[in-house]
Formats: sequence, structure tokens, C-alpha cells
Amino acid sequence: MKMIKAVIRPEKEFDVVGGLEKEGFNSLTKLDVLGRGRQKGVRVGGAVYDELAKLLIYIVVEDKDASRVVETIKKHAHTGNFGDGKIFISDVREAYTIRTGKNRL
Amino acid sequence: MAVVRPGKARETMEALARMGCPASTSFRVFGRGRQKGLRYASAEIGAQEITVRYLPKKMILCVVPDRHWRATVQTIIRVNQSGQFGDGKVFVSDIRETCRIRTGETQDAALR
Repeated sequence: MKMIKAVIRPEKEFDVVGGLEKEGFNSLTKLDVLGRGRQKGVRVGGAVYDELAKLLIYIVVEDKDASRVVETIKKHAHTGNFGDGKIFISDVREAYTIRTGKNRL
Repeated sequence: MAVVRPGKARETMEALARMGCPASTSFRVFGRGRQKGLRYASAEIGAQEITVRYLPKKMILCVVPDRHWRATVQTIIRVNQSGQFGDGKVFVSDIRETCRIRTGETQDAALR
């Protein structure tokens, strides 16, 4: 299994979640975060914003679905400007559903 | 890494501490599972269906030595299992390195 962590623009949440829903991925966990990238925040005139509001999304899927989820997020979170965010993928060894205690997604 | 009901987080962390894993990090998150949130009909406002897109949950991160992971998962499941949808998930993944910042200890020594 793979865990996909995506840092996206908060205003793109509906697009991304809607897109994932259409592909059949309903489950996710989300979290408001602050962050910055290689541009070290933004500078607007004299004002410097060190950290920008982002939305962090966690999704865990089977290995074979990982690339489809990443493509969907990429398509819907993309604006072409700095600050579109990043997607990180890591391995998950096991997943348990607490309700049933079973070892599956 | 576990996503559990917010009201169960304290109990979970106490149970983890009792089994010898006192260190954990937790934070509030919002999430939904295969049921896409919550959908129910309320008698008070007629037959109209109410949809809750995301439910508040608590995420608990807990790093344990390899030999303890099964017991940790069992503890989390035991404390949080109510049999209803929304009990949450437990994910297990490998941590490549650990370092205690205060002393610079690494790997299992950093977890002790």
C-alpha cells in the first residue's frame, strides 16, 4: 500500500476531492497547515509572508492505484504558478480497519 | 499512525503509555472514509437529508521499536473498537531513522 500526502492550495480542495471521488477514491484525511517552498514564502510589495496556508491531504491506496491518485491530484491542483504544492508518496506496510479489526483498507 | 474518534484519543494514549509506549504525537484532523462522511435524516427538520462531508478525528503518531508494533496496533484497535462506522484506521509504515535531538541518540536508543 502507498500513503499519498499532498500539500495543495486550500481553494483547490473541492476540485481535488471531487476529482478523486469521480475516480472512486472516497476516503481521505485532511489538515490545515502552514508552509513554504523554495521561494521562502511570498513578498508582496514590502510585506513578506514567511508561511502560506495550505491544505495537507492524506490518502492511503493499494499500490496499483497510487499513480492514478497522483495524476488526479496533479490535474486538479495545477495552476502553473509557484505554490501549487507537492505530492509525497511513502510505503505503508499494513492498514487496519478498527471497526472490524481486519487487516485491509 | 492511527486515525481515531476525537473522544477516544486520551484513552488511547493512556493505554499506549500503560503498555510501555508513552511517547506519541496527536493532532486534530478532518476526514472521511468509504461512506463519504455522514448522511442522516433528522425528524426535527422533516425528511430532508443532512450531509456532513467531513468528520472531526484525531490523528495519533506513535513510533515504536519493531518488536512492539503488533501489540501497539492491537491496543489501539481494542480501545477504539465500537463496531460502528467511523472507528478509524491504523496504518503501519517503516521509519528509516530516528534521532533524539537532545542527545543525538539514533535508532531504538532514541525511543527509550
